[in-house]
Amino acid sequence: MLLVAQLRFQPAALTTLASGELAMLDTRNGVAKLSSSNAVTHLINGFGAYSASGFAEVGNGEFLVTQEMRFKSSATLIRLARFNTSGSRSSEWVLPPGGALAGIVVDPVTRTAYCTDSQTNAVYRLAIDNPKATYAVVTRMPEAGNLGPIALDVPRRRLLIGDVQKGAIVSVGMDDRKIITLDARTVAEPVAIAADTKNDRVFIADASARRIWCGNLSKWKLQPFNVAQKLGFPIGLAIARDGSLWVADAKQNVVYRFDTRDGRTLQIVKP
Amino acid sequence: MIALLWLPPDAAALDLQLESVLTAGRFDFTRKTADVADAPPPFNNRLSGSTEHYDVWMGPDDVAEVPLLHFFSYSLYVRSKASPAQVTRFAFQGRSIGAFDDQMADVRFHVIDGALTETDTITLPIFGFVPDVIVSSHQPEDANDVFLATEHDVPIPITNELKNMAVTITGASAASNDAALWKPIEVRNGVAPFAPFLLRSGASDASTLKIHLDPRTSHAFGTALFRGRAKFDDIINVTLTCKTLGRDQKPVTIPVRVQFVPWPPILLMITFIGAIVGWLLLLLAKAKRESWTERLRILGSGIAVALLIEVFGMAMVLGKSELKVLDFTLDPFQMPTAALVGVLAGIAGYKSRDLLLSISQMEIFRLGGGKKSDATA
Repeated sequence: MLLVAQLRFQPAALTTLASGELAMLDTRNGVAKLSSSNAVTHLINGFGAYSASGFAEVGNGEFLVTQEMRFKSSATLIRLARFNTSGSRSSEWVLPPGGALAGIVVDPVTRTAYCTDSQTNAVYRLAIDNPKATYAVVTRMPEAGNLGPIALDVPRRRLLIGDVQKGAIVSVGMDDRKIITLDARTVAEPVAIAADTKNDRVFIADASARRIWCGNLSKWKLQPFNVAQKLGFPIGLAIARDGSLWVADAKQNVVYRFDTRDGRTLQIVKP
Repeated sequence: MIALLWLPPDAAALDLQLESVLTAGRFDFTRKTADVADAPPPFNNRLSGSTEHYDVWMGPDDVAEVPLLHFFSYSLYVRSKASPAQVTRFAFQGRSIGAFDDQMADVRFHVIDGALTETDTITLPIFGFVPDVIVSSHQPEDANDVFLATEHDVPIPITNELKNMAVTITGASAASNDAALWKPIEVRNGVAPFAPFLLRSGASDASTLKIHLDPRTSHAFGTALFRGRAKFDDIINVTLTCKTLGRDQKPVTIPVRVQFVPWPPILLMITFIGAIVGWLLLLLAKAKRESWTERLRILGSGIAVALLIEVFGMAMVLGKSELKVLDFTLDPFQMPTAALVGVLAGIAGYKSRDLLLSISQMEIFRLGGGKKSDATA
């Protein structure tokens, strides 16, 4: 008989909570938050036999986490799970076989979750307050490589989606479902997208190039965002309440906070 | 195209391509970026390949799983043999299709420098869609025996389930389901403290890893005495931290069942039988002339004294003392000692009888009777 125990926390995806605190997702060991006093508190203690690939705050301290459990002998189990404030799973939406949920973002106004599927390259929409809701396909992109990160650009009513394999950024209209390729040359491996709609900026983590790109949400012209730290494998991004940028580095297993004006390092978190 | 953005003009023409690998499934490589390597890892013979004009290699830390997005990230380095100081780093994304064991595979590569294309193979780790159970331990069907009052090393046999990839055991710890039963449990490499070690592809090792158990005898005695129908007294969970190329460290917990031996009532039974054997020896050597009544009295005395000594010895050890005979420390919780006590007490049947008589005549046993006889008088 084999049992699996927990190892150290390795932050991958990041998000800023409504409270302004930073939440960090470890694909196996759960979710932790960094309080304003720099204390790391576990909000979800592990996912059991599942591993996570994306997460988003619902708005009231609850989280949605895309999860999967892989088997050699049968189909993979994929679900979107909702965790309440005590870190327990309160509901789940199972994805029919054949797909693999990757990124997730929540529109707090319409209470709708949008998820990418890295297997079928579909984008789904789900009413998060309905435990019996089913996945509605927003669009499918058969020509894509592997869809991954997703961000919300509410003022322009569009979703920003990264194609991790082909190195492209596309936008999908939330109302008209129109697909526009925003970039297919600059970013090699877009693994995280953070949209700062307040300041009309976007940041993209390019893992294999070991750098962050930044640009203007309205004009969409990307340029390198030079930071004071040498990055090993940037994997997660989040915009802090003060406009600074959180970056999770999977290779160094740290989270940095950078000043978005000059790339200065403001904080280093070692979970 | 991306490569052109990053490479200096003189290196822009250099390209590296990796072919897909077909196993039980398929593993595809997608080249992502190319840039000038500022601090490449040292060239090594294990993860490398060479063509006529180029060296291609990778450091052991240059492959990593990206579980968030279900791929593996590789960095490979290429240098021209003519100008080895200039190294180009190529980043690749690796994706598995289908379930197969993680393994080292010969990957065909092409170095393209303008019109020149050179081809060879490099050994690279590739990974299945489903993470494998990398280390297993075949535990015996019966629980491991541990003596009640003696330190003991229990070997933990382990097997690398990956037939074509080595695994490093980087850490080990052990915890009991009932910590009160044991002094701190150590995981050892043989007799030395634990140190990381490599388990080669598909290899088994039955002797290196051991847990050193030192029972707290009083707790162990109680547990063993009231075992009930269970076939073990405790489970020691040995947690190994295993690391393979490209994967995160993974803990594997091996439950090791142990039982205390022998079961305490068995010891008294053995002492009993030992006393009979000793009595028979005595009969052969010395007590032939005695009447059967006397012979049986000697037998009864031998058994009683043997049991007294065994129980007294157990009590001493439980009380953290030692039972010593002629400078030899005896463990009354082991069967040979119990048998020896019985045989000796049986052989010394006359002495045993006298001892019992002297005990029965001790003041403490005569106190009540003495007063009574005084009153009668």
